[in-house]
Amino acid sequence: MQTPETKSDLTANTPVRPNDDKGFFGRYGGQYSPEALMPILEELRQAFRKYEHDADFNREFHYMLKHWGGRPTPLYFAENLSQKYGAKIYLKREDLMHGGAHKTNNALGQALLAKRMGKTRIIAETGAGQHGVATAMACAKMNLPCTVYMGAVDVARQAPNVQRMKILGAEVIAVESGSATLKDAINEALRDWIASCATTHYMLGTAAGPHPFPTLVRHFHKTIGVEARAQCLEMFDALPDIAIACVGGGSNAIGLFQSFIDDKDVRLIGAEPGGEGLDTNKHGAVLVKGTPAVLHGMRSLALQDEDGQIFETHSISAGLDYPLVGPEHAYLRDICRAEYHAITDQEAVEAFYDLSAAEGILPALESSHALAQAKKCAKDHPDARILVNLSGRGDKDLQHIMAYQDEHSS
Amino acid sequence: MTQTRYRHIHSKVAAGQGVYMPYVLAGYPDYDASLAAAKALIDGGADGLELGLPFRDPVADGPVIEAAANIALDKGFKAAQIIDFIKALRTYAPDLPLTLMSYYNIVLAKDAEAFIADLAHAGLDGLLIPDLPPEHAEDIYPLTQKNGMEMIFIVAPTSDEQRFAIINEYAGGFIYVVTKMGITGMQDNYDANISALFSRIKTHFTLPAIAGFGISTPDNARDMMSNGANGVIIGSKIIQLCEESYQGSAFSPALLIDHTQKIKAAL
Repeated sequence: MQTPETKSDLTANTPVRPNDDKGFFGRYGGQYSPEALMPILEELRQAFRKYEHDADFNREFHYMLKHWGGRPTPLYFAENLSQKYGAKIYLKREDLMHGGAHKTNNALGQALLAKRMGKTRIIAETGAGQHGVATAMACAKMNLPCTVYMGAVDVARQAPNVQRMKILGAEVIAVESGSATLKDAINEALRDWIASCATTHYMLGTAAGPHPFPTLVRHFHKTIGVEARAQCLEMFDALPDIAIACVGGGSNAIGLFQSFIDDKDVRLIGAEPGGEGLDTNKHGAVLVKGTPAVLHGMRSLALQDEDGQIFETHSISAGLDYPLVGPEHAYLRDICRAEYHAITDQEAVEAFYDLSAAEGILPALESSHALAQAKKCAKDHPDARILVNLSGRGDKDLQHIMAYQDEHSS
Repeated sequence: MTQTRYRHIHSKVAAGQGVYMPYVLAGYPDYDASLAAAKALIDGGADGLELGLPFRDPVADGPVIEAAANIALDKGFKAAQIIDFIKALRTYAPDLPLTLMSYYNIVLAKDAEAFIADLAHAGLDGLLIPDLPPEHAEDIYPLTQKNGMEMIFIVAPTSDEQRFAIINEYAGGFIYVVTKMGITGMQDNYDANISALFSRIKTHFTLPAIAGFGISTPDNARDMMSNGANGVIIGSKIIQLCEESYQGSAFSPALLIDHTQKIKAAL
């Protein structure tokens, strides 16, 4: 289990704040934003608190989740994979949700919220393109114009999703600055928002950023954990021994973990992108190797140098390629409620093939990290029931996997 | 009002003069050239300087400053060099108010307590952290107080009276007024209600209101003054002039001195 950094923990002397809706998870979170955005964050916080428990809002949200989004997604006992891995593997089938990933929950929820706030334009960032696609789908349905910022590197490696966004009516802007990946797409989206916030809602795609985003995104994804918990009880009359999800920014993981946090016997494990290995500088394992940082409106963990310059990360999976992480995961790590381990590109690709061959299901490369972690856990706990959040489908990754295979077989 | 060197700004404003505090990015186009640029701005008559610390993810800044920051960092600029940079300027201009603009993560990474003490010791007067809103100022304020430094805050067109009150608890030196919603850069489209913003600020703050964002020419500067500003900050345009003044590795101060004199004359 990862323990918090002690020597380099820059926040060690920061008092842990009471829960006064400032968005702190222990020492992490907050609203570290430019002054121009502070009023709009407050407007969003108030709107979220108003509608979070609003009956009409929730009726519409859940109606749309069911009839448009395809929820609830099934829990599936992967018998063949279980035989192969040596433990009982249960898949939460978020890959079957409309759009092909869990991201639709959040995009739909935020689109409904933006409508109620009277916003007339949506902007979003995207890494793998899944949040971009989910945003474009929700905006098409809600008749909201939307602009999606996407790193130029990601535009190249996620071409099918770029096409989908465009067909759905979104404007896609390729961001060339910095490492031209998710971090830079968020920078550009924030800049757009600073200039346009009077009319525009920024639909942040992961449980990160300034308050209220980590809490708001978690809220719209908690249905994953609520369903999974009930489905486990129904299917095998017990809770899983281990629940695993991949972590980039951490939205699918926080959605799953949320319903199990109080179940102390359920081990919660986040699978981070280990890239080419933790002994290289080509990875994105923020919770394993990161140190406290402030960027993108939050105090969290980041991969950075001694001057606080944020590193460019690497992962075969664009959706996990982010040098920070949602603040609640940093907190769950510190209090030892969840553990986080790195999965290499190679291990993820192997897991991708494992599930495809064993079950006829192509997982997203992001979700393949969680599967690879399940494989490791199965070795140590052969009788365990392991719940894996299959956060997305892998069709979008085929081109990239083929390229990876070519590169590594020659 | 204050014992820091901002008192020189305050007395000029009290005497009805407009003040000019240009922005220079440390390490751009290289370390020596950025120091030469800062001295040229002083020679041209700047009333204070805003020193930028290069950061690769400057979300409040536009493409000009971001690109310049990346060049400075690619050339090997380290945050610790800002200490010598400030010392050199303090020797050159003993009474000039110096403000450091740094994103929060650099301050944290350098160990805020030690870094702020070093900055103060080098002769810095104030710290502006664009991604540290007053709600979180308590993280840093005791450290600047202990070291005799001010914290500088930004007021934006969207900041309401409630926010003014929070800002007022911590603000020192001057109020940095964002004159348009957006990022730093040279577009001259100010918020239409800019004069209303300045009058609102003046009823709530005793500190001078200095306009920043989107100002590059003497005309822009005059415009800001007639809308109620007590002075102006120019950033992106200075970066551009630094680039034009840098041939090979030689830096020529003439363009910056000339531009500074023209801005001063417009105030």
